[in-house]
Amino acid sequence: MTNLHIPLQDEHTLWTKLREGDRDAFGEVYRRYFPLLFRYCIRFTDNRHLVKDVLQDFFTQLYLKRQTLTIPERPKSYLLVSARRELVRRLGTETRRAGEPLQEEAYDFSLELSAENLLINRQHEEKKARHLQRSLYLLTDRQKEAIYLRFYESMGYDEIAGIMQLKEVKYARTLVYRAITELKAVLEKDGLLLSKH
Amino acid sequence: MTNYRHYEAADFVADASFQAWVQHGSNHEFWTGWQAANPDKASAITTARKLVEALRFHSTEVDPAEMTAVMQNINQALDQTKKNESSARRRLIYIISAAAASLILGILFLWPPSPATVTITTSFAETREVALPDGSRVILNANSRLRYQKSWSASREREVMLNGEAFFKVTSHPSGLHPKFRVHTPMGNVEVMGTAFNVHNRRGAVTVVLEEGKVKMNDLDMVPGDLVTVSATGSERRKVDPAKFLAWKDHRLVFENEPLSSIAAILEDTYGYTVQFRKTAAKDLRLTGTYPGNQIGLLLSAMRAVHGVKIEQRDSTIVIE
Repeated sequence: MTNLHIPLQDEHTLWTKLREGDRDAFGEVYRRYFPLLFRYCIRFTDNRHLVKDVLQDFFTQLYLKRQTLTIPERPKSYLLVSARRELVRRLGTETRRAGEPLQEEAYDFSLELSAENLLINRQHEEKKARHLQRSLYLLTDRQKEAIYLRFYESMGYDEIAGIMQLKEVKYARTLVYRAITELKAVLEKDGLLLSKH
Repeated sequence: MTNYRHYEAADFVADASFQAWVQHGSNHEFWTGWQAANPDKASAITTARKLVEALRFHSTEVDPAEMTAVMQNINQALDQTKKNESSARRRLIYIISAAAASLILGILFLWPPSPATVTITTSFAETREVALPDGSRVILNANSRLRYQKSWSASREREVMLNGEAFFKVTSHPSGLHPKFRVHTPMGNVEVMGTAFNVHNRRGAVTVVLEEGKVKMNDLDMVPGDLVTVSATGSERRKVDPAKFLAWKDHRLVFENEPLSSIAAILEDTYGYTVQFRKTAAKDLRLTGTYPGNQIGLLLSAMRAVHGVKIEQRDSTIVIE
């Protein structure tokens, strides 16, 4: 693993340099954002090769089309939106190739609790963790995506709405709240929220 | 400053500052102060805390080696473009398809998706028991995938495709079905007559351990107690105690003078953790013992106690000093 200390350049300078064709700046953008984009994209498919292929194409195009690039105000959102669009397009092509009917916006978004959570020491708690895991499966893919962006990537509602191409910001908030309410209900039913330990 | 007076549990859960406090301990002073000043919100806060704590997701991260490989492909594509701007697009496609060609082995491996195929996958820390059409029993370890045709016939060998790790107890000579049973993996296949064995296929190598009966691994005859590993660099056969390799079925982890590097590989492959070593020397430290597979905390404590190393765990990342 490379643990080289890279001095933190501010985003605006970095993107300006990238636009001017600076390959080091491009490399830095890649290092900063590839892991984030990968762990997001891999939630839509378990095909690792496809995700890497999409991202390879995506970053190559980012550099080749640098001159037409508007320096993004929020690079993280910008990259997530663009990479997601590319991935969904490619997944659509793959589906068509497999002879399945193409459905707009029909995608899976997988969300699983971390192993640590599933391995809570006491057995009855493990059972609750499993319940919670099951309730996660019951959420819609869009709810899962919204709470992932909110909880894991700490994104604002406006950014979530942008990434998920929702017409209004309030829809992002609704998705997150509905998911939380459903999970809370499951945990309450199991008495997980009442127990003191 | 947000006015939290009218917040209910769900509002706290959704609040960025509250999340940051629970997840990373940020804004600690503010939140402890606020809690003290608003004792009537204690139960809402407790509920919200528990929810945020519960919502820690497993994340599949890119391997640094994969990241480097992709960057090399990109650099190659960009360098080609520089040399010949006019045919940029064509070259790019060429390089990308070359990269795709190198993955052909992997792609060939995926059976064409058809409704007649059954696919069973397990997530991290999950094992599943599967009964095959011939009555054979498979225990699929975590983070693994098993595929097979839905209906089997007398004219075609019984075949399954494995990615990950599984234990097989194969029915011998089932009536009306083909006598041969075969497990395919990217590094080769195991031919079976009716027997019990373990196949471990991760990180570009496949390891087969035979408990009873007789199998052939890529034309190599194995007898009980044999371990055969096949990887790109060649194959290796040695005698082992099969029990050690089958312990995962009973949710136990058995180590005998095992280097921490291979324990780290298990934590990553089976449980979905990311393990980082701060000092390379720690990779060669050894551990012996039996640990419950569903309490990784105990395993980590043992590693700390035996070697006096500092081990920190945050979400799905384990850092060994």
